[in-house]
Amino acid sequence: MVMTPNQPILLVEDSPEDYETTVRSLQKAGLKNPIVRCVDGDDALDYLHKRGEYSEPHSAPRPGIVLLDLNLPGTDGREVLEEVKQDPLLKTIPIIVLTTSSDERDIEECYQLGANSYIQKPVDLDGFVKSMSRMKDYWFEVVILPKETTMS
Amino acid sequence: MGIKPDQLIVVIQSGPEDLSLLVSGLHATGANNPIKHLRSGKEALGYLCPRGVWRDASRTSTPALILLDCQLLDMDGKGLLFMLRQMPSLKTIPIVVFTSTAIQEEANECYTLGANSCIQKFHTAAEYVPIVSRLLDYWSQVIIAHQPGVSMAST
Repeated sequence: MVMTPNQPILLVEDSPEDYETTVRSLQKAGLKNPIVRCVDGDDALDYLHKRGEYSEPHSAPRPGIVLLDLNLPGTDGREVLEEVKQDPLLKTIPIIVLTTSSDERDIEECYQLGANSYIQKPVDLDGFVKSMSRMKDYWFEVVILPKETTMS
Repeated sequence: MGIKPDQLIVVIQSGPEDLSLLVSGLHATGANNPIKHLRSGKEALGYLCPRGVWRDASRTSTPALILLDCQLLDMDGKGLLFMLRQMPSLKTIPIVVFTSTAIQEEANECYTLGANSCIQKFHTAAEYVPIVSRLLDYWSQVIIAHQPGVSMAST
């Protein structure tokens, strides 16, 4: 079951360079879905809870997956992960941690908190493109993603 | 690093065949991982529970990946998923659930219960091959897995 092409990917990334690289890699991989960017943890939580600047109806469509950086200014990625995975309405959304950290404590903590996957950002561009292409292939062509059942 | 080629994959799938479709699919991809096939919810609990009445003394290692068929003969796969996710030793181990009835609804429930991902079930081993091969590629090459035992002690 393929993800509907209008379900956005939510990319939570403070670094403009990493954001650009991720978007380019996903587009190179043939991703058709829109990519929405949140620049920090608070922005991401506002988006997911449809509040603040995202309170207008249809301004924050539910993402198919979230790509979450860990080290963010303010509310960091771990806190976003914990909050989403404890929220009965949001916890079904797959969260893929995408970070430079390969610290075993981060890996363990993220899986403990309910991360669906943990991906280390490859340092070279070629590696990044390959990694995003296989991530996209798995989540968009192999997996059944959750869907909101209450609203159409 | 993701799942290593020498790490254990557990498949929980009931069925009349001697070897389950999923296990056949895994073998057909050429994966060298040791595979433990558990044919019922009770057998799965016995093998995966570190303690308890059903404890299976033959268990040698913690799996690196669990593939769970949602339709088991003796137990609801979602109930089993819930129980596995409560076990501290399995909390960080990826569980991929295969579902076939009311697919979307069941997938939503499985994500709520802590499945790392949900995949549609197939009816022939051949159909599993491309899916399982992409699944293995993802969990062994793309992601970083938690290696239990390496954790806090390594620093």
